[in-house]
Amino acid sequence: MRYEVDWSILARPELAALLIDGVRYTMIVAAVSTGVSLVLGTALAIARVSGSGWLRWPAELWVNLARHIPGVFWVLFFYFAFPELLPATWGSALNGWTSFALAAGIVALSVDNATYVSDIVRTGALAIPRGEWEAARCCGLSPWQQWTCCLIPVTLRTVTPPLANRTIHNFKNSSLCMVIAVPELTWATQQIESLTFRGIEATLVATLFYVTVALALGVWARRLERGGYRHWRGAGAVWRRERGELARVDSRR
Amino acid sequence: MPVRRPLSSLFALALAACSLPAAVADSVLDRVRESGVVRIGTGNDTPPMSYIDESGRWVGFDIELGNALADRLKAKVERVAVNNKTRIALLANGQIDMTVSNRSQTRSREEQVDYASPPYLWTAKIFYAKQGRFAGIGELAGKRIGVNQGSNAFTAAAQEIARYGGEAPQVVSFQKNAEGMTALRQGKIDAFCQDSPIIAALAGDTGGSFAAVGTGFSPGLYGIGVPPNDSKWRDAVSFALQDLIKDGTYERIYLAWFGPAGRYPLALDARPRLPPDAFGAMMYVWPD
Amino acid sequence: MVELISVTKRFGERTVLADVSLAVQSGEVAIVCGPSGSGKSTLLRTLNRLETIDAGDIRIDGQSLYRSGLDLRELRAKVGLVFQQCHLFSHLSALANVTMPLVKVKRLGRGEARAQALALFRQFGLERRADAFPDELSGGERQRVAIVRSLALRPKVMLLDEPTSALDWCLRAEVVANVRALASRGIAQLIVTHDLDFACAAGDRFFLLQEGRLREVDNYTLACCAPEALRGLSSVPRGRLQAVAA
Ligand SMILES: Nc1ncnc2c1ncn2[C@@H]1O[C@H](COP(=O)(O)OP(=O)(O)OP(=O)(O)O)[C@@H](O)[C@H]1O
Ligand SMILES: [Mg+2]
Repeated sequence: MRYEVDWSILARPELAALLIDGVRYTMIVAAVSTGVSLVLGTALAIARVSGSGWLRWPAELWVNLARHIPGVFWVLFFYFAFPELLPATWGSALNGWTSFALAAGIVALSVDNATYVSDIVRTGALAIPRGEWEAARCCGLSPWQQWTCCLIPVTLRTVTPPLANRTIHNFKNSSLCMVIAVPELTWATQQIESLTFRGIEATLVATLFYVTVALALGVWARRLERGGYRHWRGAGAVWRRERGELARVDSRR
Repeated sequence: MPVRRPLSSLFALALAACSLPAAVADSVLDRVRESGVVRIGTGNDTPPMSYIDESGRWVGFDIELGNALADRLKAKVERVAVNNKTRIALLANGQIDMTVSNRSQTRSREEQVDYASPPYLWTAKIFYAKQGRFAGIGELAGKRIGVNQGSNAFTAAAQEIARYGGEAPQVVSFQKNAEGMTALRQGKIDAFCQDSPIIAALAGDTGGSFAAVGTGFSPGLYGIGVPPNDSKWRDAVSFALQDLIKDGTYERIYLAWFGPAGRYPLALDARPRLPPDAFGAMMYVWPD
Repeated sequence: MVELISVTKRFGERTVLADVSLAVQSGEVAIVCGPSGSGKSTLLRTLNRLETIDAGDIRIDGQSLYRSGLDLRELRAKVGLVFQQCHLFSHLSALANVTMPLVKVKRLGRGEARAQALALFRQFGLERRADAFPDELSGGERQRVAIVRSLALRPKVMLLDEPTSALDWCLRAEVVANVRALASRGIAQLIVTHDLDFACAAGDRFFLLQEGRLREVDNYTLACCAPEALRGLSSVPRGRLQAVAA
């Protein structure tokens, strides 16, 4: 028995449309949930390192609980169980909403990813020299300003590589949404397989897409890590210097 | 095509590795005779056709039919769980010897695999919704219709609704029938479309608040799938099935599941039979 | 202006400040010397509540730091602290280190903040290093940026922790001049230093901190006998003092 790879099926407009739609949904789910989880995770991290026990303990409890819950649980939970927990009218309003599956998937991935983001950001924040925290306090900055003007930008430098990894992970996790019938890319390949019994072509194309986007994210993260964060701040001196050094190292190889 | 060749040979290699047992003997029949084992692909979440009951046993019409066939072929059953999406590929790759898994014969499937003869159950696609919500199929225009991914309801449901005119429905594919029924109960979809015996069982299990919308459409015949281009094996399976029909085993299994006193009584007789006025509604088997 | 009343500070078992009392008036420069690890930095840190004290009270402008309803932000803008290790914001350029608090705390416009910061940079000879990042600055440059960062907020009290440890004699003279200029503007200053020349040139009053106790001394004692005092000789031989006086 021999599988004849037949790329022509991908040229069939109705199947190509499934793939293109799949890419669209995958990008929406991944981008929105990554954005939300970065905000949510950072907030959780701030709560966890904050001095107030009222913030710290609930956040610690939550993170240590959520860390052990598989992502697909959140997906099923927000789609099937969550509306049942709400008052009946709200629940049926959610269930009646045409984009509910998409929304549930995004919320699920956001919650799932936020846990890991909070761990990463917390580690980064704890790695800031204590003196820099104190300097921020001594200048009379409010706690909010301390975070936004000093701690987060400084943390960003150390957390960029692990956050980029996490983002790639979350991007791939978007395929979990297929279990709640969100027509994202993996769902689309399954759909094509069930319509044509030829899954390998579509799956290959989808895999290529996942790999390409993940690689691009990785490259982008490496550029940030190489000091691009200073570039954002308007003064590119160090960035240019580091780039020069890297170029020299490269040319020596 | 220079690009295509390396890829396809790569897959050929991978797939050859998977299908080694089939490649050794020239017919599946020889291998089954030799080893005394037949690998049957069945679903596991599709009552009343094939599912796992509360005590963990495989039960269902397809399970019993498959067991009876294996008996006939004097082989032991090795059960392989398949779903709507994997069953064709597994068969085409020779990883299973037959599927008895509520599979309608279609042209596109016939291009990939072969079917034993005769088909053993007729079905129709049918919409189910909350009782009294829709008066007819025409009202489903523009609504959210759930299907099981891999079922040809995906295409058939939209086509049927289109016949009544109006807006195209939004077809939502779930991975499991049970998830689709939960979504229907919660109002995430407006109707669920599946084969008539299956959806009757699913709806019956959820307590009778669902009812059929309109009548069945897109009739189909369930057939036993076998690997392509192996007529020796296909004949052996066809003969075994026809023997079961002739000696009354098929009848017994049918009545136990779908007869008036069976576990999931069907309103319409689902046995594919010759016209009653001509032949007294007998099932057709090949003459000797 | 600054008043410490019987302040006690412990780290676990260890008492770092024991019953320390001190008062510094507006325009006065108080110098604190003492052996390493004697608690000088800790003393400064209690004054803007980076450390909380275990007993006693601290008043700035007559108001207790431990009264309810104290606005810590306002306090910290009013009491400038220059750290021993500078602690510049590593992600900001030297200039931005100064302008950022001006914009965020004093609510100045960007241009205004920049102008004020650049004026101070010029005064401290930093104008050519304004765009450098902290890890590109020398120790002395860093120290001056830290001083400028505090000064820019126009504090009423300045706390300087070894501000001249990394400066050459020329820059040190600059700092002396600046300290005196601030004093003439009515700013109360508390300066920790090991640099006795600087101490004598800049200070009005002199204190020795050892084993948790703070004791006021005159500048002769400090200049001549600090080494002995720091080594723990409790009384200074009188003859020697007189010899110095003569
Ligand atoms: N957060 C802390 N926890 C525990 N002990 C501390 C802490 N901060 C300082 N100490 C201890 O308190 C003592 C006083 O420290 P401090 O930094 O005030 O000394 P110092 O007089 O400034 O010394 P130096 O001249 O070396 O800067 C030291 O023994 C130090 O180890
Ligand atoms: Mg110190």
